[in-house]
Amino acid sequence: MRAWLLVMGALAGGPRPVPSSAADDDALAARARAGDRAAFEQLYRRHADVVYARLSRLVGPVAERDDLTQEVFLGLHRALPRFRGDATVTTLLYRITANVAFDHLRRRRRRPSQPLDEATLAGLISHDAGPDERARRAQELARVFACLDRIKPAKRVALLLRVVEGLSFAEIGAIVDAAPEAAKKRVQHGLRELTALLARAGVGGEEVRP
Amino acid sequence: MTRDPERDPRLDAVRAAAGTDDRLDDVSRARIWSGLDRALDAEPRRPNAGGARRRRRAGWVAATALCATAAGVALWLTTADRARPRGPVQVLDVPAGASVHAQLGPAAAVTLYGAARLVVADGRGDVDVALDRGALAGDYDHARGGRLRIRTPHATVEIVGTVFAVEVGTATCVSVAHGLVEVRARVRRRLAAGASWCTDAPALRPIPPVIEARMAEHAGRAIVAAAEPVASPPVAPLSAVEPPLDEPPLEAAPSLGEPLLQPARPVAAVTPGRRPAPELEPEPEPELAPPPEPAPEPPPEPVPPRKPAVAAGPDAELYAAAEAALRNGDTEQADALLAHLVVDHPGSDLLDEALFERARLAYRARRWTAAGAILDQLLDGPPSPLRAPARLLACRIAVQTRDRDAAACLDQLRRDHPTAAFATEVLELRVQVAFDRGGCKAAAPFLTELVAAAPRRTLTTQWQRRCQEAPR
Repeated sequence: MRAWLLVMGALAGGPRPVPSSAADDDALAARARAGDRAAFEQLYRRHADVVYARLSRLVGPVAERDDLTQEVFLGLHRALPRFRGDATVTTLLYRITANVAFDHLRRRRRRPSQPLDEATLAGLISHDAGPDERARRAQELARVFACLDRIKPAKRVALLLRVVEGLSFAEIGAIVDAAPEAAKKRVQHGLRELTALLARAGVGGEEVRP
Repeated sequence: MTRDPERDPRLDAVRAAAGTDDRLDDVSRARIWSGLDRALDAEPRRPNAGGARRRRRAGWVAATALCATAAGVALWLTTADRARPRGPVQVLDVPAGASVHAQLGPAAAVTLYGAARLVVADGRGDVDVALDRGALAGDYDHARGGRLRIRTPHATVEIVGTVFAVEVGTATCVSVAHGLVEVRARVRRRLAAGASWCTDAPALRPIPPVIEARMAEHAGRAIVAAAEPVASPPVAPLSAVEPPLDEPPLEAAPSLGEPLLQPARPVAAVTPGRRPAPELEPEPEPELAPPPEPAPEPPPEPVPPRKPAVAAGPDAELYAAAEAALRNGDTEQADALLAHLVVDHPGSDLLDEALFERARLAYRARRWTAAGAILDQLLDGPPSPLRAPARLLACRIAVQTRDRDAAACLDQLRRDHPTAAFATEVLELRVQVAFDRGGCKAAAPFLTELVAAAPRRTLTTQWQRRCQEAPR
């Protein structure tokens, strides 16, 4: 493990993010489709950070995010032969990312893993905050993620795309392969459930006892 | 006046939480690429790769396609159906010496033995695959609907519901461990359990031992997987489950947009083979199993089973009728028929299969007590090749119900079958049971064993991540 980290250290600065433009992406996608691994690596460099951030927002700060990011790019690689430029690479990646997140949430729901514990979450909170404040925020994060985990994956993905990513229903529908109306319903139902759960958990206010 | 739910102030907490720790650091970025690079090396070549080059040859392709279409129509009219599966395809190439276990939709799973190549069409519903070369052992659960068809250069093999094997060399040979298979070549043959036939041979042959062993090994995997009670997924994408040991694991593609090879998921149930393996190979677990909550269950079912209100008949007919009921998705009727078989034909050769199938159905319905009692009947009965899988199923019930004896059950199974193919599966369960009781500290010795036995399994990695202090 340590040796591997040393190797990675030597690679530091290797696959760093590169600014992306649609035209460049299309050219890279065409080269990658023809088997050019370097072009695919370029695509990875351009989009890895965004994909990782989106995954984080959809599934939470879980340990599997690295693997899921890898899944997304494997999915992209497999989709390239059928990619004819009807949409941008970014859109395709967004779609694959949402699908990978959905699959992950569905698997996790089927065999739920341990919820994110407060100690782990406290480690993610800025050390600028005092210990009490960090503990309070960690507790709130744990409650929020516990509430999100109770929402069905399809609704969760749709509502996070709306609430966090700020997408329109048409955009959400295109990403989750549903009609805009269906996407809207998912979002609305998910929102209703989530706000009720948050209220019951006392997030953003006093805990409500049923 | 209604308030816009999207402006609910509580959602600010969700927005803040969603942005927690969403930055990819340099080391992770490099590590992901490193893994991706290896995974891409292991990716099969896509049949439509190199499209640009092909476009330059569009004229040639058009002319060739015209000739090929004419030839294909002629060929189709005169010989067996040799067409490739239609729809989006993916290719699974297995190098010589390696074996890959792959899930094909919700109802079928195959183990490919290299050198082999499998071309798979979309796995939603019916599964249509082409085996260009090599061999496979497979199972198909008609209880989950759909149809499995395997096309080879010499024949089309229709799987009705069975454990079977197909080899492609100069001819195509089909062997059936359990159930029924129809082979369409120059002649049409229906093969029942125990039969084997090659398209270039006039008569049936006994199943070669190596094929029998492969089918048994595959049945073992499926039996282990069948023990997992899973909700039917809304979409059943194709999924490659187990990569060759010397290759990095194939990772997932999305199922909603691009339904391609996916990582492990619990495998569909399967009818156990008449000749199951004494050595069973485990199904990889896709995710780290959590400490299970004791599952609620409906009132226990009386055992021995109630006599159902169905027409009496010989044991084989009852079993066939149960299979037909499973094929139609009527598990209740299937269970009733099997119960009838158990009650009325206690000396039947099919007794162990009927009991195991009943136990499996009860397990899938989360009727733990009923499943356990039926397994007891099987384990108390005469020797059967299904004893080992039955014991494994019993241990899984103990784990699911957080039974105090779960650890002892697993330990005994490990002692009795130390080299069984399901040994890793048992070890994983043992890690989980130890973890449930005493956290990572208690799980550490078993995790050490697991790391040594199966260092590359996803579950191993996940356990390692969870228990950082455990030796790697």
